[in-house]
Amino acid sequence: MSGIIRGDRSEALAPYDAGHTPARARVLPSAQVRTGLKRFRMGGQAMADKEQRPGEKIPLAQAFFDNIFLLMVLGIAVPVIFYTIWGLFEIASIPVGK
Amino acid sequence: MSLQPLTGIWWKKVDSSEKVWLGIALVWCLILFAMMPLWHLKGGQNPSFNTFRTTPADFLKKVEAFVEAGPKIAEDKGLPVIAPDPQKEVYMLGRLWQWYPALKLKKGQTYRLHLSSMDLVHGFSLFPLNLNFMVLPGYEYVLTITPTTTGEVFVVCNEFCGIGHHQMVGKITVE
Amino acid sequence: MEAVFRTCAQTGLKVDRQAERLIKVHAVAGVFAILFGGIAAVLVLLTRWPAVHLLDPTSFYRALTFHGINMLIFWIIFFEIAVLYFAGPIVLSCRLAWPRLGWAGFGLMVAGSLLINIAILAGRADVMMTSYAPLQAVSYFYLGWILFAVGALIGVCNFFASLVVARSERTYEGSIPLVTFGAATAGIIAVFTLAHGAIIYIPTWLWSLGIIANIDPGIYRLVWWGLGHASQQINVAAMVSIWYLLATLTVGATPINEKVCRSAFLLYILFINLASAHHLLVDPQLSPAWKIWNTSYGMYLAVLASMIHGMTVPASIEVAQRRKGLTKGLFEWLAKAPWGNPGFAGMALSLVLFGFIGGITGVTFGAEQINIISHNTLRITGHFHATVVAGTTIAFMALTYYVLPLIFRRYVISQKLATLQIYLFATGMIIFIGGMTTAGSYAIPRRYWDVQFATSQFQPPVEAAAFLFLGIMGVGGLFALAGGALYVLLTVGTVLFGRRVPDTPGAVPLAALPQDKGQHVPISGTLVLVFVFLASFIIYYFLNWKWLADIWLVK
Repeated sequence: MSGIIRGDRSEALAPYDAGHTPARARVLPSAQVRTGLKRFRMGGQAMADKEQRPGEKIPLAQAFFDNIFLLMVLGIAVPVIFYTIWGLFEIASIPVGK
Repeated sequence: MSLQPLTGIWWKKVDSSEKVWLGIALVWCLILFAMMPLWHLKGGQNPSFNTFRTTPADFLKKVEAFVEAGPKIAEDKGLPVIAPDPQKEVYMLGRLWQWYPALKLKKGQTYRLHLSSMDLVHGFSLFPLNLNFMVLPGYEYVLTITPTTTGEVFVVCNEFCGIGHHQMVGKITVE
Repeated sequence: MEAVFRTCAQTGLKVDRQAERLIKVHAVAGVFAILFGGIAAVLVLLTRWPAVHLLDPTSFYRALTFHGINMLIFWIIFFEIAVLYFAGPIVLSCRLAWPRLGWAGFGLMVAGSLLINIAILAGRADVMMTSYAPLQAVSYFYLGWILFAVGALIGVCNFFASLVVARSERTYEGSIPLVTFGAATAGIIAVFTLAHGAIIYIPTWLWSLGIIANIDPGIYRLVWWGLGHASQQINVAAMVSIWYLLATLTVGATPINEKVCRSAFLLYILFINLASAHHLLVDPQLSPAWKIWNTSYGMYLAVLASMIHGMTVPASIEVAQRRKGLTKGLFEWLAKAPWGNPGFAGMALSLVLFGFIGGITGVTFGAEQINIISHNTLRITGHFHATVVAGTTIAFMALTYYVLPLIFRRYVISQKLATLQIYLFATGMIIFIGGMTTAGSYAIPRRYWDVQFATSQFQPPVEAAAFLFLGIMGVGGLFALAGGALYVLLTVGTVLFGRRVPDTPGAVPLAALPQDKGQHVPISGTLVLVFVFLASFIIYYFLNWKWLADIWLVK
């Protein structure tokens, strides 16, 4: 097995580039890292249906998921209401024993 | 992949093989949910909400009145053993580090058992039956129980309550 | 303070050096915590193993308090704050929003953990992790919790503030990566958690100082578990994010459909905290309606989320592997996966053990009525060792083997031992959990010094089989402890003595992304696995209803 932690390069193969798909692949070193902000190299063609065409609007649902602070408000409100406040209400409503 | 930001539109159709699993998992979740109200309707073991506020002093009075009324049929390890009438209310308290009193019940009879604590939070665990409820000071919990097995069943405290926690064992005998 | 960056030669990410330093110190603190918790674990294990029964009662209850807090709170939360510092500023290649505040937060967490540990070791806090009022510890114990919670909250806020920085400084385009979104889920859950910590510990601290007269035990339990269980749900979100991260790093996996994965995280965000109700199902002060709605995470929608991740993570691995040409039969993709890579093995084991053992037992014991035959027995501790230890902790251990070369920039001193560590720990935990959970089904109580009841008022007879399972628990626990000790040795040894990783691309092997030719890749192997999971779930679940029906009638 490739020495993934020790950096054993003995099984290093050429990195993926367009059109080259080895039949049996091992874990490969990530080569051709560019400086700046480009990260892992995505082999082959990009997932075309994900590319936004100019003028195409982001679906509302996607924009909703992008709004982390709205998600935070909901994520705190829902359990505070159902777990904490409802729970405290029930405890407060317990009658005194005869 | 999971470390890259997503440009473009990623809100897209779900593949049918994933949809199948999503659908089945959702159905299973709804079944899980439905089981609980269903068991309240049809099943024999349910936590109820027969709870009253009390104080240790008030509850102690009720327990002592219950023990006083009896009938006390024996003593076991220093504890009075009470064989209550199923028509009457039954009381047991937990305190550091004892369950008081011991009880003698009849199989198939239904009893309203009142539980509370004199001091800390205790765990009412019928051993080895494996029936577990919490006992809190200031709260009187009424459990309506019907023993379905005979023999000796022990009341083990299974909520940590200090150094004598593991010595706190009471007893219920069923015949 | 001007932000200073380095560019990671392995990933191309722009790394804020303050964020990186904070990751390191939080990770180191976490490893100290697991070491302390692990030492206590040995003592607790050897006491609960009746054949050994090592400690006296006082020492046992003290060691158990120490073990619980160091593992469930300090190990886990220090590591999670480290994950947040990674998933925010580093993954988004932006500057850390508040470096100085980040250090203050870390300082508070360390101070808080010291106060708590000193209180316990001094014998002033024999109250278990839960410290249920009216049980009372020395006042600085509660102050320690407050400081720790505030410190952790600062770390969480630093993460969210960094998301704002990344967005406004445009260090990325589009939507944040899935790993960051999962971390944000964990962060949101953490805000709920830590807020409840403040709400419960401030009055409790004042009560311990004599300023407040009483703490209602029913209210304490409700609010405390808003901290206690919710903190474990932070673990779930962090663990799942780490599964996606490790799947990418080890086999080049890409989530098949981000809509599905993120929707599942949304279900966590909205509903997972409701299940703090699990701990209150046989309490007197709450109604069946409240219990049923909350324990079900709102009709089990958060369980649906877990079942989704339990499919999407393996599915993404299967697709990546099939794209590399591993298409033979149903499972060649799995058989030929890098099982010798501790990062992969740990991720896979974490997923399987969390799902099959932790998840199934958790949902089952969390059914309102089934809790009657589980609460406060070893079934509960068996369940949460499956989730927090076999699940979250193994995932954190697996991730460590990437943190070391990428963040500490040292090669792990022995890959073979790292791989052994994961398997040894997992195997030990499986045996331990099996023994413990089964013993619990004999009503053996948790947090209990002597299951032979030698000094109790009455001596209930205990079935011989229960002792057998406790013995199995003991043996499994020893193997797990060996695995845990090896983890500490490897991490400390690497940080101190590991060969430095050179600053050249490819020095740390990270999986390349397989080519996506746009063809449809089946996930048939994954579907078989999830159906096996479902079948196990159904069987175990209904078996428990049957066992419940066998006890006395109660309502």
